[in-house]
Amino acid sequence: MTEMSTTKDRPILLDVKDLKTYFFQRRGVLKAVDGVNFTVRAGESVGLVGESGSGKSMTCLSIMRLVPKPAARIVEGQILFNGQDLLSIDESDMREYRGSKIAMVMQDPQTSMNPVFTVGNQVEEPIKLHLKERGAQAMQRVLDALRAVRIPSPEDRVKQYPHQFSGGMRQRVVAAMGLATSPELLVADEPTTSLDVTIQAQFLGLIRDIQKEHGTSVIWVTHDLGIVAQMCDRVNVMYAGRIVESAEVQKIYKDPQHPYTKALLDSVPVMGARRPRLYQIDGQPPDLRSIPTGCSFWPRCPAAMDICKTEYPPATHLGGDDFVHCWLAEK
Amino acid sequence: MASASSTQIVMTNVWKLRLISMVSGLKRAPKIPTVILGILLAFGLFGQWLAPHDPISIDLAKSFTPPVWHEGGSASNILGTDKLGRDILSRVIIGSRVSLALSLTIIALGGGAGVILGLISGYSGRKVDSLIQRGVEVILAMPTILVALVFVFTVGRSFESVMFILSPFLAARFTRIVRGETLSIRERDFVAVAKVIGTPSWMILLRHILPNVFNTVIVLATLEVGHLILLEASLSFLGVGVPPPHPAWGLMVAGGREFISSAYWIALFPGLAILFAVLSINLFGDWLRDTLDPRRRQL
Amino acid sequence: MLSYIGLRILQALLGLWFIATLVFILSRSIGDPAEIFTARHGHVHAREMMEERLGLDKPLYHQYGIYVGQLLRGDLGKSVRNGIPITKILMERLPATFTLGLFALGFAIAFSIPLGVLGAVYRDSPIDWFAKVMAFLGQAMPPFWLGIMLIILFAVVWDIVPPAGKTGWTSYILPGFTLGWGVMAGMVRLVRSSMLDVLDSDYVTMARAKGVGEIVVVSKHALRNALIPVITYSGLVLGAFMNGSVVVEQVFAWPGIGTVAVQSVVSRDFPIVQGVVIVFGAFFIFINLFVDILYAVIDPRIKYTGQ
Repeated sequence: MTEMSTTKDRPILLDVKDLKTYFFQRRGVLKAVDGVNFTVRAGESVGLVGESGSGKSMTCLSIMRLVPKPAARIVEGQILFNGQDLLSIDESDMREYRGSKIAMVMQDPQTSMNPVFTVGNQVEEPIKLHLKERGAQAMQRVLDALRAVRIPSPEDRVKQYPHQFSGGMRQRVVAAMGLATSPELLVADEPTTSLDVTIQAQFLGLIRDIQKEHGTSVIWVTHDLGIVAQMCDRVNVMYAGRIVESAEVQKIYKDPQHPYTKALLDSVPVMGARRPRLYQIDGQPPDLRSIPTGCSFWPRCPAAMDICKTEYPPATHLGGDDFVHCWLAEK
Repeated sequence: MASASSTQIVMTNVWKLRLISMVSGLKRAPKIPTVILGILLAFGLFGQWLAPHDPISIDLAKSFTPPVWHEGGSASNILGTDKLGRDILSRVIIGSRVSLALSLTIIALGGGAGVILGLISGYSGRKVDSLIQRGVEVILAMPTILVALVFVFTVGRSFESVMFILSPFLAARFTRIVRGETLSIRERDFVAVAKVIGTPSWMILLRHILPNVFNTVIVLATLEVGHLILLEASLSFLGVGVPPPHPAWGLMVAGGREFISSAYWIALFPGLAILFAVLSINLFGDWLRDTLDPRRRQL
Repeated sequence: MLSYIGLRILQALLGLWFIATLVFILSRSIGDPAEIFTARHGHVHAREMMEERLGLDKPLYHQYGIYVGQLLRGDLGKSVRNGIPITKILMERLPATFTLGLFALGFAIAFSIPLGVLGAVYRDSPIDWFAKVMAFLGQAMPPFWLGIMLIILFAVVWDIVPPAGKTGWTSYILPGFTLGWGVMAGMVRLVRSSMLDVLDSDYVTMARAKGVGEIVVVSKHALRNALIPVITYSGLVLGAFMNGSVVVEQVFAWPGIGTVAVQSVVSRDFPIVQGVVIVFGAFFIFINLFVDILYAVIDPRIKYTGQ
């Protein structure tokens, strides 16, 4: 891995360009992901932040090319991984990426492991598939992977079934499944939402250590701005299927550009700060079947202008990889 | 007082809304099964005016007339006649009455009992529950047709005896499903809230749990009608259904069995009637389940 | 695991006892037992012999004791018509019913699992439609009628298989198909719907995210989980099987237990009927016991919750 101090000069690992993933339903087309652009550099931690239903998870599944068939389809865009467009290769080549170069951790550790196979069997699977190792050699690797995620006495644990693990331990096992093959990119879809705060902190620390050691890039999907501040180098704020602002993490906390980002930051309670009432964004996120014309945020935006209602703002580049989609920044 | 009457209003509104949405939802029902069901109902209710001939009048001169499209067939007996010269079409039309009346009565009796037992079993837990469940298991372990065969043969063939012996089997199936449903609803927060404010158990069952199992019950009842029509037909085929001369589909098939090499139509058409009736009820029930109760794909 | 199996065996025995008791109550409540058990058979001392055997001069609880005692010794009584022990009659007929059942079950499984799986994997494709049509027809066709129609087509019109009776392996085809189709219908729908549920699950997505190929995803990760509800429901399937076999044996004059039972009902040979009901019930309970144990083997979660 490259040895550099900041992440912004490192080579680009993943470049998502104008990604569109739609659900085709009887009642109309649901635009879950509607023109998403962002980059992930080698070793970088990138946050994907937004309310529920803003398209974060669908963006992740699109990167894995695992959107739920036949309802959803990736209709447009490019996903360049080390320069190779993942959307143009065929399914069997894509399988070579999944679990070997790109790994995923899902939200709910209760359901993301198969209840009828032992933990060892499930961790072994990507090792057998991608590293072509068998028998004792593969088992050694399973034990190493479990040790790497700090599971005590892995020799006994491999023979056990998922229901014998606690939630935090399970999520570590899921991480071990992903990390056993030393992937370049880990897609973590709200991996800590269902964990207790202390367990969550342990898990975050663990991933950060592994990342430091192996230089793995991580996409963190979350709606928890605390995690973003702790874990990420860069933040992408999603709203109604699009990324409205992308910035380095210190910058976004100091000087958010998009009114939605500001609103999100204002609605986080700050320890010690006394406010008469916690800020709350008015209105509801739009129905993805009928996104308003213009900027999708205007009905809830305190600074909405006439142009916002008719035209979607183009990206305003703010130096480095940073950009924002807002007419205010354009002026 | 005021709050009691307002809950009253809310409750009746819920049922009224449900009724309205059900009626308007029927427009989206699958067309062909609904039409067939409509025809079937018309046969059952107005059969005596729809049937071209008297279904039980014997005319030996016309015996074994083939259907109209065969050589020797006649337009007055479109589907042909049986050994005694009775018109097959008329008998198929009138035969729907036994199937429908019997299965609907059993659904009302057995299903009703099953819902009550299931609610009690699922809500009361422990002793009462395990007692009822053992009972249900035993009934389900009995070979239905055989037990019905013995029973009807011993006490005599009649509408009532078939009804009496099949109802417990149906009740057992309803009990099982409603109990499962009740078990999960019992744990929900609104039941806990009702308990906390001191609502008596019967009222919780009636107001909070019953409306929530209602959809499942409707779907189950629809699907069981098809099952019962088949069961009744099997009994009547074995000779222990509702007694002749009233035509019953199963009995008609049995009557055609000796003549399969010479007069296939005697057995074919009543069987087709059963097939279409059950098929459209099942398709209709499936649609109902998908609309009302999508979680229960397994019913 | 062992305590779980022990508990299930205990429950099965309890179920058996319930069934025996229910049969006893039925036999004493639908009329004069001596009359029912001997009706119309003019052996000189038939009535007296039956009264003595059943202990009818004694109080009801005593009769019950006699009845249970005889059952425990495996004594189901003798046929009223020819005095042959019922256990002997049933043992003679059991193989025919059993082999036919196995044939039908084999047919049902061989078709329902692939059809259900493919229907779920390729939703709304031609194979899914084929599976649906087979399933809906199978559930709606009265088995006795299907049997007769098959006889007309294959035995009368084309004359390629025997119309009835148990003569050679070809005689299995029509009754096995008739019995198996109904069972298959329910299983196809069950396999398909539970497969759809499982294919939607996170662990299947996770398996795909690991780069596991689609064939392995379906056959390893999904199928085993999808079969759990199928096994749970197979008890009900068995009920359909027993009902079906009575009717199908009747249609095809199959020399099995179902035919004996129907004949005995008609000839009012009540001890035989009673024996058949008890044997069927016991069979049902033991199969369910077996299914529950199998269930525990397939689903590792069972062992520890004891449910």
